[in-house]
Amino acid sequence: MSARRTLPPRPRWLDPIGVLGVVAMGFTVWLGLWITPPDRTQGDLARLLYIHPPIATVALYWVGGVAVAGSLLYLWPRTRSFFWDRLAASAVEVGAVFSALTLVTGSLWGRPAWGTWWTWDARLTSTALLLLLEIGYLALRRVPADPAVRAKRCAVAALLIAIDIPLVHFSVDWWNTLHQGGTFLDPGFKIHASASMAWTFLLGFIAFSLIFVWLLGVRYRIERLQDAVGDRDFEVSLTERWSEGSGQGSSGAPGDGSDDALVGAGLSNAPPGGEGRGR
Amino acid sequence: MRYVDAGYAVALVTLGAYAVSLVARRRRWERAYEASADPSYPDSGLDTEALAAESDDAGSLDAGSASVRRERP
Repeated sequence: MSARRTLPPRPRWLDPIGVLGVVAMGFTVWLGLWITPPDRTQGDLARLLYIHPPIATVALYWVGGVAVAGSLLYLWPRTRSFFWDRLAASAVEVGAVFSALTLVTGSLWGRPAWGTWWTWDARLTSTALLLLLEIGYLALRRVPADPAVRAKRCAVAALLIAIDIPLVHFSVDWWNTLHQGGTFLDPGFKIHASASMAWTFLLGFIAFSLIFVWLLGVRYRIERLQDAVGDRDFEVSLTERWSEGSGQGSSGAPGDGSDDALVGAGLSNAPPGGEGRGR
Repeated sequence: MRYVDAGYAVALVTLGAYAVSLVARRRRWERAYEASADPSYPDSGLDTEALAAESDDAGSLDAGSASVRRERP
């Protein structure tokens, strides 16, 4: 029986990133609400644009990128490792929060701008679909299953998210939508805003990105701890079974060939298979 | 300005609440992990020190086998 493995300590760089994110967020709020001038067209409503697009960027690109890349790397046998599965799952949960916030902040902007809380516009609909796909992924993750089977199912579910990402991104180009295209940047990456607005916008992106990284790191740690506790409980169960077996008159020592019942139940200490390694 | 204020409030409060919930969950699972690391957990009657002293080269019990996953609070 193997010695109990210890989990590596929490990464030291994570909390400073969180602190930096909070500080950046504080400056974004201060600049966005009080320092930057109102927009020529939208007035004070434009102040929501210092948080809504950054939140949407995190929800779509950072989350989507991590979740999809992690899932693909898990599905590919050469790189298969539960690390990618945990990372993807963590990203999807954090992403669901950001997707919901995207829709809420967008609605709060849309109500005074468009006169409605919601419309079945391509951008809004595809973003709502993204949220539903993320919720579906999380629901699928809670279905009891062998970890390798669960990881594979979830990785396939994440591929649906991968399909939705370009739909959201190109929705304003492919369809005649109410939602506008780039507000601060045109397709040629030319900035259409005053300096203070542009810098506040950039700061908002940085702030929410840092906060996303911190949330992802904490959420990943929880996944890792859950797996580690589950592994230890499994080892304890196995130890108890062996001790019961030795107490009932079998030869009792693990791996001596007499533990057919354990082998039949899939609980033997057989060499690990190819799938699901790398925890 | 009320829509703007509401937007900032919703975003900050939601992210703050989520961050706090994650930290609380992490602490709970760290306590569970530390409890499971206690050599006397659970008292199986076996010489756990001897078991722990065996080589790690035999590999882990979890990889490739059917797993028993217990849900912890």
